[in-house]
Amino acid sequence: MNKSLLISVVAGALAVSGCDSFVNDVDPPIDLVSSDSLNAVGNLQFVVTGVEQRFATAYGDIVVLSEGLADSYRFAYGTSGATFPTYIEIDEGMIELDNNSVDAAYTDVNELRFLADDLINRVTNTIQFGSNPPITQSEALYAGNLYAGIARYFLATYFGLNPRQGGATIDSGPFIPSSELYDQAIANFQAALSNVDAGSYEARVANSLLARAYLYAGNTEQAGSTAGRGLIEGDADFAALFSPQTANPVWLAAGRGRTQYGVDPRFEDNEITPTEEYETVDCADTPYCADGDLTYGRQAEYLTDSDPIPFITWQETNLIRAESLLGSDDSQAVGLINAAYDGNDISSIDRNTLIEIRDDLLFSRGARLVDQRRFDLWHLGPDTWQYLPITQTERNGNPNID
Amino acid sequence: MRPTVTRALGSFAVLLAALAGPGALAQTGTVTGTVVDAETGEALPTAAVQVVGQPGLGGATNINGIYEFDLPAGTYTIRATFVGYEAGEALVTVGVEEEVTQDFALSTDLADLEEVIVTGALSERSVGQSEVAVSRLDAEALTAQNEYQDVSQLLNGKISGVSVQPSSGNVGGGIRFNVRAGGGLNGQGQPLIFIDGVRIDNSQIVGFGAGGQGTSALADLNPEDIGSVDVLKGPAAAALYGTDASNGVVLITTKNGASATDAFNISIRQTVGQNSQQTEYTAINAFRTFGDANANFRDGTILETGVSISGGTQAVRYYGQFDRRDEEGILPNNDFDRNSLRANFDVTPSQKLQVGVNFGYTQSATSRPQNDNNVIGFLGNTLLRPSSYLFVDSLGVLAARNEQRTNRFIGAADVAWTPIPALTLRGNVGVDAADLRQDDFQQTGISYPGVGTRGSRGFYGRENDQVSLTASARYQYNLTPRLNLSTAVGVQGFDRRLRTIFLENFNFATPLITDIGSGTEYQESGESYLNERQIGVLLDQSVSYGTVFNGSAGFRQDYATAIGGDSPSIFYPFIRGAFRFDQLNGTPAIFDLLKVRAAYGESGQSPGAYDSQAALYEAAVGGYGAGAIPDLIGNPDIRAERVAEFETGLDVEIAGVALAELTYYIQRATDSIVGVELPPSTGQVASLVPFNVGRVDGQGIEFSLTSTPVSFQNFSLDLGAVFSYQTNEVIELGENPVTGNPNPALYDGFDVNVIRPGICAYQLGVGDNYSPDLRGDECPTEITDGLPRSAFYTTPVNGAVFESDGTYAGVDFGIDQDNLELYQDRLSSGECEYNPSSGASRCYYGLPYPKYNGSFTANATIFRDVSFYALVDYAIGLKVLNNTRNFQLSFGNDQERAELADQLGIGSADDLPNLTPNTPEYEAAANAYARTDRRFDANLIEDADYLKLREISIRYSLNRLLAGVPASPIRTATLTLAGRNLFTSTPYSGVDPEVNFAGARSLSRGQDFLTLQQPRVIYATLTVGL
Repeated sequence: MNKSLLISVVAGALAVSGCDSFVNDVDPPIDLVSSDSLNAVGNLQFVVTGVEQRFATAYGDIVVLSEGLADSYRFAYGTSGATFPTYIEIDEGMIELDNNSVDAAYTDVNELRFLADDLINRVTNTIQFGSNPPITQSEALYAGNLYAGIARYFLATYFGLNPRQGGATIDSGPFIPSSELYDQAIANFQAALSNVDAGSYEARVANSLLARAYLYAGNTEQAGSTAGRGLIEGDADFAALFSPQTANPVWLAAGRGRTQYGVDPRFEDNEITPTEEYETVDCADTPYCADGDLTYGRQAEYLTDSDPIPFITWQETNLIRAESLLGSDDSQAVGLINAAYDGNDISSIDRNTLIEIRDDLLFSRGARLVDQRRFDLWHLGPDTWQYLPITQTERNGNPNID
Repeated sequence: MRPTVTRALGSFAVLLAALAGPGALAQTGTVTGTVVDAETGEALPTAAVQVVGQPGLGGATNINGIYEFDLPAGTYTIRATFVGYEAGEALVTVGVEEEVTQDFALSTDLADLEEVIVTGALSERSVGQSEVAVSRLDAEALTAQNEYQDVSQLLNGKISGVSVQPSSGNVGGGIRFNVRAGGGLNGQGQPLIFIDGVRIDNSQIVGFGAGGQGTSALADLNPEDIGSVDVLKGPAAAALYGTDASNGVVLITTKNGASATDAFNISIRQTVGQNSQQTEYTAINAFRTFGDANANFRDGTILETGVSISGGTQAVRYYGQFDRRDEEGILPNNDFDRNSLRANFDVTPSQKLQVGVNFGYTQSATSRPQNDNNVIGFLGNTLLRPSSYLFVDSLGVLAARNEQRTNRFIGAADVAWTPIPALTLRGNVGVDAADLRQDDFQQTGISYPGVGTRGSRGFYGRENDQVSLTASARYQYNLTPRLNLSTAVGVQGFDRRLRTIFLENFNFATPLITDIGSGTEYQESGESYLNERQIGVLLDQSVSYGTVFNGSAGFRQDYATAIGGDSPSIFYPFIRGAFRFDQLNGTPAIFDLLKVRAAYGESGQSPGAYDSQAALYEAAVGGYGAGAIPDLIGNPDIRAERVAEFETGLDVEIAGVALAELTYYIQRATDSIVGVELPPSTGQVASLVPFNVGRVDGQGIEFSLTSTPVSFQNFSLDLGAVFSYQTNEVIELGENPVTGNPNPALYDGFDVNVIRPGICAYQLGVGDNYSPDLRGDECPTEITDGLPRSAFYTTPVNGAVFESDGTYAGVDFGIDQDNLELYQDRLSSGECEYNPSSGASRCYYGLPYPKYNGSFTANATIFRDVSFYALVDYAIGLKVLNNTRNFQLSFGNDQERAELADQLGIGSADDLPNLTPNTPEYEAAANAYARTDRRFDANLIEDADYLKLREISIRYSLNRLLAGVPASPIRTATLTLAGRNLFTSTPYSGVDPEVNFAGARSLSRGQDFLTLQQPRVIYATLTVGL
């Protein structure tokens, strides 16, 4: 009996250890990789590209929603593609906190912030750079800080706790007002600058972003001086890139891909507006139209699913410089604007002209919402949102805000 | 075989050898006798007479009802059993070379108390002996009387504590099992399903979601192949099935060969039928467009042909069937074709050895229309807007196709060997291998949202191969002639490999060529692969004392794959017993059965195979190339969820007329895995993050009654009733690991179905720091009860607010300081919450699954040839979120809102006289108008109780007529007329309360979102036996 008992115990122990091995002796997944395995320098470009991808989708989301909230886009009632009630809420400025379109944008922006900060952390603390790495530590730190700054800029510019109170949260912390988020963004852009040559294209991009952050934070003078070190005529746009696999969100929500938003009718009558950025759609010419008399305008900046969305350009940099010169050196401001505003020369400049030119030149890039706030041009009622609300998902999970 | 498996099985064999011990036969005597019908005295041939506790000892009666077998000298309890009769038992003492006569007169068993059912992974009991509530469904009898498209229809309404919710009325659509109180938070709330011992894939297959519906892997199973279904409804019964069995286990046994007296039978079955629209749309639920919506529907033809053969000898039994079903749904582009082939063999080479081999092969094709959450479907284009086909042209809707083809093989081999009388070794190995392919088309030249006129073509492939293995040994021994002990050990393993692939291209030159390679715009593609395993070591120690008491205890030590982490090892114990008072002297003879039973068991829900990884990244492809983006956020400390259940019950059969079963159960899920949605600001947003922080309690009552109040030669009536009450309460969701604060309630994607524990109740004067989230001493009041899982929970609507001139000004919603009194009771109970700081408030609006449900059945036989069967089922306490109406309101296609707006003078129409502000009529209309505001889900949650005439059939047997025909080549023939979903009574304003958009698995439940109604079905079936 004792022998049987002993054999049983030993057999049981062997069986248990065998079971443990059996369940873990499985083939790994082919489509997923652990976070730790990305800490090799050979995978660093893969990580950087991930940050860039998230930037593109976050920016695309921001453009759609902010132009929808601003007076640029109008919900395209009566058209076949306009089906999202969440877009109606945004268009009317009466945004519920559980608006899942806003939630998706807030999620993307925060994931961009996380990925960029995580990139900085990996590069600073974990990844070993040997000789001749495929990507240098400085290049990676530039990318990390640039996108970390952009994420904070997004949070500062487009989101708010209350209809008229801009700002956001980071890492489930307390509410951070826009002014502090701009400070953080500026710090990140400056850190990015410290990792590139001063005269390089990358430095000019960072300076342009820095200038815009100063401008939106209310520091027009510093914006102008910084923009002077920003992008110059001939520089390529710094743009968000898309492909059929990650389609341009504007094309998909306010374009030929699907028209949930058309453009405000005022653009059709805008005398100084070039027409090629808009297209007039005659409902009768579309395949399925209930109202044959309906015509509406639609953005034509992005005509395919892969069209890039410029994020900062030398033209906008010129406008920032011009704005800083407004009233002090109008002639230089006019020169800067005419250089940027191809073929539409103006002879004089004032605040309203500048606003109108920004409205046109920066159309479908997310600038109009900020300008309506900055220049007190709000088009909706007194209780409406001027920011995209920090969504219920954040409020549910973050103990620091209600 | 892998070394680890070999090692485990080797160890197992050693363990079995150790348990076997000596058992050689010594000097013997003989037991002989007859087995007869107690009422008629007729001999019962092939009745089994066996020694209790020693399965290798015994024999069977011959054609004259006489049995005889040898036994070692000693005292034994022997039992005689025969199908349809109650068992007889006797104590016999046999001397060396002595012949002992023991006759049995068996009484008929109206309640099938002697029918053997599966009561656990290592145990089988007769119904009369079972210590747990196991429901057996006689599928063979049901399919003979009625017609079922799939297993879900077969099960629904038949078993207390189990209901089956279809996702939609699509033929081949997804389904969801609701078993008892739900059995925990993690997983998909679904039972494990075994066919002939093989664990099968019960996934909802999505691929191209066609709006969110998915298809059910169970649609591949032909109900005609099924002999019986046993359902173990909770951990008390299913503990030995281990992890993932907390929602019960469904054990399907396919048909086997006929009795040894029929060497060869052939049966031909032909069914014709029709699916049709059950409920027409009206202006109430499709204001301007109900005509267009109704015009979508068609009468779908059903054709089914089956040929089966069965038969056997004493040593070999066989069953085979080929069945083909072609079915059209009630919408165009919804078809379901299934060819199934089955071959089952049972071989008994000797009394010590039984071998069974079962094969099933199914080839199915399903076409799905685009319903539910999309705008290219029939319903989306005819229900939402005041004019139809504004999203996609009607030709485009027709041209959008989604087709799915499946080839599936399910095979099992099992062996039972009794090398010595006391020891039985069993083994079962099986495979469920399925290849599935979906093709998705949007025709070039027709405009679709997001695609334009380019045309799209997608392909999705899914290979799921799973192997299951069970091996066990049972050793039985008698301590005294009546005290029988039985020890069983076993191992149960499972290996699953799931591969998926998809590819999508746009821009096709012509609709004539749909080769995916001819699309010039590549969109996306991808693959995935998952390999997961589970294995458990099982022990069952049973004891019985005569027929008075049965009990057992044991455990399962379980292991499951955790890729990248430590595999969870879980111990699941059980203990249970049943006491038969009817077997005691002194119990009134009117009780054929008076049994009290109680059982306790634990089971669980495993984490996902990847859940123990901190973070997993995918390669996201876009304009920059491929970059690392988080796909899953996990938790290295995750453990399996544990669900414990205690059940107790009373089974009573009175005078052979009525059998009642009453069961009460209570469940507690601890370490429940809660998918925590971290605040977006953490950036950890790729997925919900699993944590073992939840606790859910559930309880319920199940009652079933079967009765034969009238039983004459020319007329008999069987009545049945099934009733279930189930409730559950979310007790705990734990703390957020990031913030250290209580996890917030979990909401579905529509922010209306919730998982919410108790909250800090609001009372007047709670202070400025009050929040419903306060816990412990910080809560100035009391923590309330939690809500049931998936409850509807949303902002309340009070009515309208008015301008100073009395005109309508908007919606009065939420709880505030002005209306606190109205909500005080609900705030105290936790049905409502109110946060005065933020102004946010929500209230409980009911459940997306019924609180009470059940059915009534009647089965009458007239003149022995005609039988009538009807099943009515009902659900009480059921709510549905009418999301279809949500969008109709949004797009102006709601009659009530339009008419109210007209009366209030704020609508675009002016057909009705305007009401005067400040009058009761105006205020009533304004309040009603506020309650049609789509922004508030509370306005869209409706009562959806229902009563349905689910099944009805009349069957005429020509067997007696044929018996009188000399040399007729036809032995048997029956003609059946049947119907399904013939009548529904419900207060729900939509067309069908039995909808469950995307709810086959997700937290979103009880939602109607352009969801297709269940069809009304009629059938005629002729079955001929040759």
